[in-house]
Amino acid sequence: MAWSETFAQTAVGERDPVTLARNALGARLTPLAAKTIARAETRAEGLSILLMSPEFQRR
Amino acid sequence: MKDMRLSRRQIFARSLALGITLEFAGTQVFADPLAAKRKLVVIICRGGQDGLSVSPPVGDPAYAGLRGAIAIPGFGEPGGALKLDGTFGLHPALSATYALAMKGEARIAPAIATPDRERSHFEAQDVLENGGTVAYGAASGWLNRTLTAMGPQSGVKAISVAATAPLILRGPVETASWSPGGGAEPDHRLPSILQDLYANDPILGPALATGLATQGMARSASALVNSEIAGETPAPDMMNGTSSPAPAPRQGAAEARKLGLTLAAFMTAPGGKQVAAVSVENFDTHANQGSSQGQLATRLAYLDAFIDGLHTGLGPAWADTVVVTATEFGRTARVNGTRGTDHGTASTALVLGGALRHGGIIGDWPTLQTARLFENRDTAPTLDMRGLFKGVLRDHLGVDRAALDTVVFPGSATITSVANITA
Repeated sequence: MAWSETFAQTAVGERDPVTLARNALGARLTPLAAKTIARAETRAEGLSILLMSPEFQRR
Repeated sequence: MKDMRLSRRQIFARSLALGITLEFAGTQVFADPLAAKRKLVVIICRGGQDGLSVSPPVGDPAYAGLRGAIAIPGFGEPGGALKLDGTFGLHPALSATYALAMKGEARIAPAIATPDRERSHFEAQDVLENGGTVAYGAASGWLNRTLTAMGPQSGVKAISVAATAPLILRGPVETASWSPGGGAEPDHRLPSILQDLYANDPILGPALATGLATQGMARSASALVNSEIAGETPAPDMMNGTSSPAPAPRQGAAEARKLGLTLAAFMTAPGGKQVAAVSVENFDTHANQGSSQGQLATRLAYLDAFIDGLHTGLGPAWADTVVVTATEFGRTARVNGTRGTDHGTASTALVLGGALRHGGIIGDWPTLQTARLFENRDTAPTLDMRGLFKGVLRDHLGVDRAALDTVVFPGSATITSVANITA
């Protein structure tokens, strides 16, 4: 979790985590994870959630 | 990685364009040698900070009714707002800020907003930081363009307290980044977000719960050890006889104070940084926001402790300093069904510093009468945030007006600068 936060803060830039999630996971992205990522407070938090999401963890 | 190359090129192209514009701007600004000592700290409160809790208008007749269980109690009541004037107080967790306000060194702008009205975190933060009117409007931040406008001869240097520079400080002028331990500041919301996301997962759910329990035990233990060793002064949220049950928030406030002290050291060192950008996160309080204590109070105590550390650490340099807090948007005037508030419009900016001119609220108060609420739900914006920033940059750092209107906040000539912020 700590690693994903550091990575997310460093890597996120102006990238949109929702788009990143769709590109990375495609059909595997569940509606719950998509909604949670979209609701994140900052882009970095959105990316952390993507990295920690069950679908990404099992990829 | 294709997008990365593209954006790098865009940034490069933009910096070339800016370089040309600024060459002439640079010659006419910053003639005042006094400005060489002046310091500016911008604190971005991310998540949509609830202005009606930061500076609760407990004297507004509509306030208590709209807020219900999360209303901050009135002046003089237990856990009540700290009185600024007949209408406004400060949240009781903002005790150090209040002490500054009582010396005329902290003021509030209670109905301020960026030009963005979309109520989306990512986009509103972009607008707040890029200094324009739309998200993705610029690849650089207005604080970085301020440095460009002041010209290299000003020698002004900037630092951000973050793992990497936030957008507000990104751009052609090189700036420093520093974060404690080199890593990211822990996101206090992330564990509970993940718990919800893992709720139906037979492996990850229990694994996270175990991990968090272990971490919680370690944190309690180390907080206990730290406070016993250091005999630390209690954080602001522990004062006034209010008790904070969990050790984590208290440790958070102690850490925030240390962060403020450290930033002050960076700024007061010979040849130190005059401009700094800091992010404080986790203000997105949709559920169980709390009132004078609770989730939001803990975050405000963190912010207050950071300000306190900065004030203490700057010492005499505080007299030449202005600190501004800003958030991407405020929150709904009415409490929602989960004892929280949703994304709104205007919020409160705090303006602090020894360089401040004494005075009341900055901007007008639209009141919370139903007819005056923006779209029948939010505090109505009466002040464009760019106007406040422009006033601070002009009065305090001596940035030229033409540069403010065209380079720092492009196309903002019609947005009036707030006058007389600094003495």
